Amino acid sequence: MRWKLWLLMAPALLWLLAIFAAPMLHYAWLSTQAETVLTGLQPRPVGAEQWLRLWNDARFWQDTWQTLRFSAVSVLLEMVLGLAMALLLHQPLRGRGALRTISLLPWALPTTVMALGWRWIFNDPYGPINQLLQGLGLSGVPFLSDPAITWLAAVWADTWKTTPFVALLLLAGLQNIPADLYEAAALEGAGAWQSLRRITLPLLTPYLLIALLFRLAQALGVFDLIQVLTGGGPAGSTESLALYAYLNAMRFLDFGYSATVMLGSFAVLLVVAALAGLAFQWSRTTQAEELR
Amino acid sequence: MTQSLNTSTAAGLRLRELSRRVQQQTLLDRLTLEVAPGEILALLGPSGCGKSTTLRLIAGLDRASSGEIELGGAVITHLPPAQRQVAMVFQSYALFPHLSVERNLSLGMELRGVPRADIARDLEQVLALLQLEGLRQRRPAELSGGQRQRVALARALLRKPALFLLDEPMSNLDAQLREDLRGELRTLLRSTGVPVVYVTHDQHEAMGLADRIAVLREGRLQQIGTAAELYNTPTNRFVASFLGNPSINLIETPERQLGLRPERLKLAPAGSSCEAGWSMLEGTISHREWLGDRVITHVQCPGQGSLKVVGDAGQAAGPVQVRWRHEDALSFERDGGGRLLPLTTRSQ
Repeated sequence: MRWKLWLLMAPALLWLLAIFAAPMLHYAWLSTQAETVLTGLQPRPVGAEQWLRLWNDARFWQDTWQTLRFSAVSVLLEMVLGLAMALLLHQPLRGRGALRTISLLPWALPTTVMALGWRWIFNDPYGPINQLLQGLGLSGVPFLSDPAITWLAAVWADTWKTTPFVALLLLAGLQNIPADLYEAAALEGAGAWQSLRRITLPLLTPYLLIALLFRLAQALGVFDLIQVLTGGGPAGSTESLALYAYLNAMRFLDFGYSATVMLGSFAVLLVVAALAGLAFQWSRTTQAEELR
Repeated sequence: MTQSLNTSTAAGLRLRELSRRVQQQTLLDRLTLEVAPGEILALLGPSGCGKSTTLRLIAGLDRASSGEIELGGAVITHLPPAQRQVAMVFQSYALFPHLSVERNLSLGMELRGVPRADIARDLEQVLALLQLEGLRQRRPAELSGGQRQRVALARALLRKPALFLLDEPMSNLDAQLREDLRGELRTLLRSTGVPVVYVTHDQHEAMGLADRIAVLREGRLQQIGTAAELYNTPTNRFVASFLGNPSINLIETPERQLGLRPERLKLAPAGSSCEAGWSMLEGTISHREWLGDRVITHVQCPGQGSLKVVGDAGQAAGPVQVRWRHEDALSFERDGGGRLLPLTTRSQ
């Protein structure tokens, strides 16, 4: 009977193999080949040499740190602000429909367009923010040229764009919570904060997890926003792993090493996913214990 | 906030001229009634009659447009729900789906800051009372309809309320279970010693469970009284038609409308002469419903439509005479539907 199950899953499996496994395997092979201008862009086997190079590549580790930092901070901000926004949009306000539509606009913009917009807003000294600061007699902020600030500018632009996406997911979750649960809780003596903590958040957990998963996967692979907003600068301080892999292939024409960087960043993603999974397991067991 | 502490009045529930209007619509129109401690009052009526609105106003889930709610001698009209000491059993039961039975029951006490030892003690007591001990770790999704209802009742009991509200608590149960539970629920609600307001659209439930029944229609109170009062001396055609199964027969006379309860009608051979004090109509039996304990005979009477007669199995078909005692007929105004004084001397 088991083979029948496999047979039924076969079309989906073949599809997955073709679009995920095959390129991965090709990259695994490519990471053992030198394919650069020097080899005439023809693959030449070099064994584990490029993996050793990756291990000793300070730029790779710096980009790993920068990618993790960007992802952690922006996703955290997006979750918190997204929840706040969803709660607000869930209230029976006048003009709620229009408000919901307007609040989704940032997410509807193409990333490159909004990144260009933010590059102008952050421009020093001619961007609107710096103009405003100078008009108030304050000194301008070098948003895009100070390594200590620029990564936060990137985090901000990303948060601005994707918070509505998180809010949309969570709003769907909120709408699935029956109103009479809140009425029952109110009759039991729950205030707004207690209702949020005891009813909304637990019942929203599946939606929070989905939003977290989507956002983490996207943030760890961030490319377009960084490419347009900062180009990875200043001094590589905002360069992400995806951008580094792209530069290796498209600027340095080092296709073999680009594949190695790709697989390396995939390994980083796996580690993060495993840690997130463990944290999820842990929170579920503690929650189950709390139930007892 | 006005809080009269007049303890000389009974610690029951009082509604005075309570109204709720939303935009141009009047959902509840100047409802005045009282429920004594330990009394079960059923709010009965078709959907949209204002019975659920009344319940939500008493609970504080909706705002009253005007009027007053008094509970235990204090005016609670504008208090938030949390401060009303009111327990409500929702039609959906509104159990928290992410919590076990035990946690569903203890959550409210935790929120109100009841000491842990007291929570544990009360919890055991109510679990035993409602036979929920074996289910304490289950989630609501793992319970049957009847079990969910018991959990909802247990939660309401643990609130130690000054007033019990129930919003069609039986409507999600199957008919058999509903009948079995009626007596149990009545005993349980009685034992609390607080006023109980019970919303239902099911006349049998209202009659079997409540001490008094308030019939509502389009936001207005039609009549309040015991089941017998409502059945025997309805104030109008609506109340007369709403209570009774099969429903009352209405026939037209030149001056008024007569209401004839199916079980007060007698069948006689067609063309037989009528005794003094009785009236009759000639008709033809169209069909009969055999229901085990009784038979409903449908008699087609020319000019009056079909009359239902409840009685023993008799004649199965053909022409027949339907007759009734004058004092058994209820008279209603033709237009307004209000009940007129009985005319015992009148004959057809």
